[in-house]
Amino acid sequence: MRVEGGARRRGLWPKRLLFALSCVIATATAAAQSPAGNLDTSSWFDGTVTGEGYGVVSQGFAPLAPDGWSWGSTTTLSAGLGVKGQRTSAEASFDGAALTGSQAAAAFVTAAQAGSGLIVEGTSEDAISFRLRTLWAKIDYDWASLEFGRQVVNYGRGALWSPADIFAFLDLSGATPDRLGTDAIRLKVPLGAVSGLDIVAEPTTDPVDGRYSARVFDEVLGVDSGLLGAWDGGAKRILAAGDCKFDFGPSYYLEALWSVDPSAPDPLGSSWTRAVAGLDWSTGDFLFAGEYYWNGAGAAAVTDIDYSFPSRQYIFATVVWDYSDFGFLSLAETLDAEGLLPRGAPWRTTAIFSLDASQNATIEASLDAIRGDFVTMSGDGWTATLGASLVVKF
Amino acid sequence: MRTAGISALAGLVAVLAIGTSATSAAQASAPPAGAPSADELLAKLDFNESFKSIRYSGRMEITIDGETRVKDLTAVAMGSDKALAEFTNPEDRGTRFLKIGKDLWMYFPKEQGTVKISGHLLKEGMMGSDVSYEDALESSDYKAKYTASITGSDVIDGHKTWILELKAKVPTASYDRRVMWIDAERFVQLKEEMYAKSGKLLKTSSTLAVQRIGDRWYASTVVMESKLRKNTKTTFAMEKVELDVPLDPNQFTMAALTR
Repeated sequence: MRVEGGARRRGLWPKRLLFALSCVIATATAAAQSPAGNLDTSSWFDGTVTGEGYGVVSQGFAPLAPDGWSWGSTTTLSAGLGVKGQRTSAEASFDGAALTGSQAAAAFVTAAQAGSGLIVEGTSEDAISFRLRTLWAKIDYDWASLEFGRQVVNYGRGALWSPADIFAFLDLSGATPDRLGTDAIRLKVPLGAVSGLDIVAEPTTDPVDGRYSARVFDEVLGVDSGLLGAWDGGAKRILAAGDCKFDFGPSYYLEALWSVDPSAPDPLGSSWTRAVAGLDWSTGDFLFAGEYYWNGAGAAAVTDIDYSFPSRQYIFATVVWDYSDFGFLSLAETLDAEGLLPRGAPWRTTAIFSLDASQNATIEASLDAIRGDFVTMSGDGWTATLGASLVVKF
Repeated sequence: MRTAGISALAGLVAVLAIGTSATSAAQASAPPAGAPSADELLAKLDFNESFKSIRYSGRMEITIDGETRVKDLTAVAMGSDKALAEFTNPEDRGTRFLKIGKDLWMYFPKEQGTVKISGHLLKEGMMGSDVSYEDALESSDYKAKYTASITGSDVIDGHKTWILELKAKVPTASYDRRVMWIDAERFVQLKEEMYAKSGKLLKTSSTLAVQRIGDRWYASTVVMESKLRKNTKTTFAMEKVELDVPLDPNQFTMAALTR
């Protein structure tokens, strides 16, 4: 069985052609722009090997896990290759994994989500997966930079939710959220030392269905700010977003996204808003953070980017404790606040223990407990996953 | 939240401290016989530490309870207000810091995103080191924040030193009191103690190696220890140092940070 996720949101450009085009343009431009006429010197190859084991117990939590205990493991090789010249650079990175048991079953579920970019082949007991994380080339000038290919377009300020982040797919299959790359062309024009214009085009086979945005950012009176306007060709909607971060004791951040269908008989009636407000604060060896997420459209406006949170209100909180100089312990809680009354709201609690075991090696243990299903907004069923991993970077 | 380290860059301290113009505001205090005035001493210290620009590679070793972690980086700085540093060791490769004035940004290569390090996180130690972001950001313009006096002399590793005491005169100073041992011949800081208002010793720094470049002397290897934590120290060594090199001002921008 093979499952490949994300046909819609991924650009359908042939991967080989895109990569070849990237290399040709990068090399030609480097030769043309470098004063010495030679590609510069900086290149790298690195990667990570991760071995993880999981024990899962669940009740009524199908299809992610059968009732009772189940086990699974994941062995992942993540690798990256980068080349950097005076004016050009390129990068390719991927994750490949061998999965067993519950991890194999969960991978098929993730792969079925549009935008995940995960390819899984095998059975629900034994499988291998592959994800191309990045494949991009970039040309840098003092007045602009142009990047094309699979890249992470990350406008987010939130620890979990980020309405203004209209391109990055949020992968929640692991203990910590992971924002993934998108196939796009990105032009960045600096307007000052800390300000600029950021234009992104995420086309599809039919460019009319693509997503196109322009964002301007700056620091205004000590407030890190950004404003974005976009056209979602697939949904035929206009998007407008703003985000900011500032300090007033704790650090505060705000984001809001407004969407409207201009062709609707009642455009304003078709509009909806999403917003997040958060703060973080530290004292001694402790770091605290909390977020409130308002999804004005509810389930009606769920897209492939944000399928995971169709309810109207959510709360997230986390505390991190540096128990030693080489380790930390974190506890995070995510709650569907809309379902609090009546009782039965989905929630998720994640505890992570991390230890820097030696140079370039980290040990982590995690406990991830989920009640109900955030996607279906059901409070029925529960699952608890106990995991341990060793991460070695080279 | 716990991504590429809410910790800092001991090396950034060296980068940011260099290129400053620490003119002095020496305060009247009778120096030992034969000692220069505090003004003169700070001016000579300033001469060694003030560059228009610098470019170098460095290694930071963080030792805690006998275990050591190594961080490698390259850095450039222009004046006292602008610096850009990038980690090159495998665990942190591609992570970058940008300093402009009193602001500090961090770039995470995997997420291709930037975060402004601000407010309550500035007191955190960098990359698990004994150097805080606040240490890295504080300008070496001692005149503006401290009153200075020479209080004695000492010998460190065979080098005669003048003991220079700095007392905070503004609340924004990182430390209430600082005591520096300045080499009497080379005018390089060989040792420093940093104190809180309560009188508690917070941190110490010691210079392990001094290098001459042109007509300047500078501390190329420094060890910093936090006295609030047991059995920890951070050693920073600079290599391949180039001074007063022409640098592109566009390197110290958000565009360069995310390049």
